[in-house]
Amino acid sequence: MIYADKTVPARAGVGYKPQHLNDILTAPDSTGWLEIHAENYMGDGGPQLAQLRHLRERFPISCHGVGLSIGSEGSLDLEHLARLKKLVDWLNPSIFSEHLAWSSHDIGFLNDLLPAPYNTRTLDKVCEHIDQVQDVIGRQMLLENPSVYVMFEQSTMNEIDFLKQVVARTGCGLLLDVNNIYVSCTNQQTSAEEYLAAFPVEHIGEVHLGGHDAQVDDFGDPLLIDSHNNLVVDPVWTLYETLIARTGPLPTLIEWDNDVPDWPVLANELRLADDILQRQTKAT
Amino acid sequence: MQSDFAKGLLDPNLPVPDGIVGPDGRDAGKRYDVYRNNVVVSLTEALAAAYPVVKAVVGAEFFAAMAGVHVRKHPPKSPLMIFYGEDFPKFLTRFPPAAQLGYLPDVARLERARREAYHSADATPCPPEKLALLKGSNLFDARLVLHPSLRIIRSRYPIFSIWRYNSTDDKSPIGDAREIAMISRPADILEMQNISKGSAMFIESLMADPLGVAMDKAKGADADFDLSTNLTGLLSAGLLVDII
Repeated sequence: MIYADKTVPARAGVGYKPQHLNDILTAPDSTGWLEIHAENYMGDGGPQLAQLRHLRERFPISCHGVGLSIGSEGSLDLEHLARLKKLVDWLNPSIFSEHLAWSSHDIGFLNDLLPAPYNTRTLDKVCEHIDQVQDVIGRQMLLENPSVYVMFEQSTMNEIDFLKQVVARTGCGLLLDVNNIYVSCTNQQTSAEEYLAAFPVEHIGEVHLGGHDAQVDDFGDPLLIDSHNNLVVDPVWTLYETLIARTGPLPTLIEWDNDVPDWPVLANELRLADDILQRQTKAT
Repeated sequence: MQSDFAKGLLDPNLPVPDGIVGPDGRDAGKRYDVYRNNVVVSLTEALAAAYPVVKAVVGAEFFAAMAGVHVRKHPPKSPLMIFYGEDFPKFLTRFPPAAQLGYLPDVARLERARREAYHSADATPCPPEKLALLKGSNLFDARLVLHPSLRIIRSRYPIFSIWRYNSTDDKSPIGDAREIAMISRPADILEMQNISKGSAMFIESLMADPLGVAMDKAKGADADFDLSTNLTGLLSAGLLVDII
C-alpha cells in the first residue's frame, strides 16, 4: 500500500537515519511516520534512494528541506528548486516543510540556519520565496519557526506577527518547533509560555521536538544551542503538553540529528510523545 | 545585511556585524560566535564524512585544522552536502603542512570517486546473451555502455593498498608499486578493485571508443591484456549495461 499520499497521522514520528533501518522495519508500529531531509535524497541513485523507495511504501513520509534559503535577501537557487520538485514529484510526501532562515549567499552555502531581521523587507522576500516554492512544487508548504541566538536592531515586528503575516499572504502552513520556542525565548530572555499562547496554532501542520545544548553568553546568561543531539528536556515536554491540550493531537517529530543514539532511546522519546497525544485524545 | 553576516562567519577576525545584538541591545559576542562555530563545525563534519581515510591518515586534530582552512576558502557551492568537498583533493596538493604525505591528494581523489559512485544513477546490467551474440567485425565495432558508477583512479602510489590498510582489518604490507583502483556500485554495495594498466586503459577507452579500439589501446598498455577475461569480468560484475 502506498501511504505517501496519505496524511501523516497525529502521532509521534521520527527523523529517519539509515542506521535505524532494521530497527524500524522490525518494529514498524513504534513510529507513526518518518521524516527525511530532502537534500540527502537528491543524488542520482544508489542505496539511499532505494531505501526511501522501500520506506515510502510502508510509512507516511514528511519531507523537510534544509537548503532552500527561504529567508535569503537574494533569489532562490532555481537549480535547487528544480531538484526539490523532482524529489517531491516521485516521493509524494504528505508534508513538505522548510525553515524561516537563510543559508546561501554569494560566497556559498553556509550549511546553517541563519536568522533575518523581522521587518517588511524580509517579509516581502520570504513571501515571494514561499509563493515561488509552492508554485513550483504544486503544494502547500509548512514554515518552521527558527532557533535564534542574536537579535536585530532592524527588526520592527515580533516573530509571531511576522509568521501570521506570512501565512495570511502565502497560504502556507506552519511547523511549530517547541524546542526552538524554548531555545529562542531563553536566549532572548522572553517568556516561552507567552510565545506559545500567542502562536496561531490553527495553522500548525506538524510539531518538532528535539534536544539542545546549554551554554552561557559573555554575561553569564543562558545561551541555548539548537543542537539536535539530546533528549527533549522537561520544560519542552511541558510546553508541548500545553500546546496539545489546546490543539488536540498533531503529527509530532522526534528530531535527533547529531550524536544519534541507538534506536531504543528514540523509541522511548516516541512513546513519551505518543503518551501525551493519547492523553489529549481521551480528554477531548 | 546578509553579506556582512555571511562574511563574518568565515572570517573570525571580522567584528560582529552592525545591528546584531543580544538581549537589551548589549553586545552579541559569543551569540554571533554560535553561528560561526555551527558553520565551520558542520562543514568540517561533512568533509570528514566524505574523506574518512584522509582523516585516519592525518589524525582527527590535524584533519580538523586542515578542514578549517579548506571550508573557509571553499564553502559549498550547493546545498547538497552529500557532494561537498569536490575541491578538497586539489586543495591538498597545495597545502604545505601536508606536503610530506605525497599520496594524500590521491587518497582524497579515491574517496571522492567512491562518494560519486555511491550516489550515481542506477542501471540494470545487460543480459549476458547480448554479448554472446556479437561476432566477428560486429564485436569490434560494438560500443559497450558501462555502469554510470564506474570510476578509475590512477596514482603514482600504491593507492588501493593505502586505502585498504586505513579502512579495513586487512593490514597486508603496502608495497612500492603504483596502483590503479576501479570503483563501482553495480547494485547497493560499493566495490573496489586493484586493476592492471591494461584493464584500466580498456575501461577508460570503452567510455569513448568502440570495443576494437579499446582492445588495441589496452594491448598497447599491457601486452598481456586478455579481452575475454576482462569482458567476462565486467559482465559478471554487472557493470555492462548495454551493447549498441
